[in-house]
Amino acid sequence: MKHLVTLALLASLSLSASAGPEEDRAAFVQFFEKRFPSVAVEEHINGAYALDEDKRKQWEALESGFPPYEDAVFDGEALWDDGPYADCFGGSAAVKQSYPMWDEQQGVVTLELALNNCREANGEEALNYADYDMVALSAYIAFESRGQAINVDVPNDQAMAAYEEGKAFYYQRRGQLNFACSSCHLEMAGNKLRSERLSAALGHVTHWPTYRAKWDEVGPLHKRFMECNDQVKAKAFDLQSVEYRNLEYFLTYMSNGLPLNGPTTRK
Amino acid sequence: MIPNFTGTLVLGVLLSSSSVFAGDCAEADSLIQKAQGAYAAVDARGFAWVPTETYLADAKAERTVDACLDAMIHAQRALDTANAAMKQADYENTAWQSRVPK
Repeated sequence: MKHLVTLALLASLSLSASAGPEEDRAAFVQFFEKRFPSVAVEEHINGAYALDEDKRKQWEALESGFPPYEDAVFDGEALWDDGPYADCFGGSAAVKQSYPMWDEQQGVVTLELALNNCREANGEEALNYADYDMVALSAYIAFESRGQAINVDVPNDQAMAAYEEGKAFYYQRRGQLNFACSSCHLEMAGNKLRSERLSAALGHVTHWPTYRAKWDEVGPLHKRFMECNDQVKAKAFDLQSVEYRNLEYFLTYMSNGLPLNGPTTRK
Repeated sequence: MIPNFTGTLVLGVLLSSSSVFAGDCAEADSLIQKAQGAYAAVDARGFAWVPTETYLADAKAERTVDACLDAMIHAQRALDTANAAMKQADYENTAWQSRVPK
């Protein structure tokens, strides 16, 4: 009898962990609806500022003046106009809502990877992912994509495997401090870590690249992943590594339907 | 002029300390090799820890200047943290599933 109960528990655990992306997303959204009943789901695109009124006022003041990402958007527009990008992306820069997307050859293709694919297809050298030009281009595309609802899909079994890898990464504890991404941004979301309010994972991908005061520059989402890993004393992966692309894939799917609002500013 | 007895004593101390020194260096080399292997194994699983890298780098730097006792200490810490990281990787292979919202 004891064995039967154990088996049933294990089976239910394994079923819930291997639910499809849409079931995962529904449970993810529901988690935050229950956790923050007074916060509209769409508000989570503003991160910790959806949960902390005082910090929100400071942030809105910063955004309403001359936001520090503005130069990156202007520079990105100039790069877009001078480069082959319009041809690669169907004439419009408002494309961020469809990334990451699945590709049979390359696996998860993020916007940054697609930009480099475009450059290489047109005889230009790929940019380093930490390069300012890459950040500026993605800032311009993010700006042009504002208001578009995220719409990524998981079209086949291979894509599903990448999604599952990203999902496992999100919930696995790492580093000497033994933290998962979900430890801070799901289990402890809304609590304070020293003086900082922990944002909800929902909407985490909507506003990149972002000007972070701590970095004193606009930087990409994967740089934030690296920083998070480093903060818990886990060895970080490279920008645009398979691990981070899969993680971005999972996390973006969790925010499907939410409007894009990048670039923005964070502390 | 050092008396014969004192000279023999000094020589004895020097010889014995140098033999301990040589032993430390062999032990340090062995520990560094073990720690490097353990680190590579856990890194391949995507669960390497930053302190392991730091301890290993310190141990290697100390070994190059023959600070073998320090190298041993840091190599042992590198090995211990790499082993702990591997236990984490094993545990997290399935434990993460319990954290997924249902």
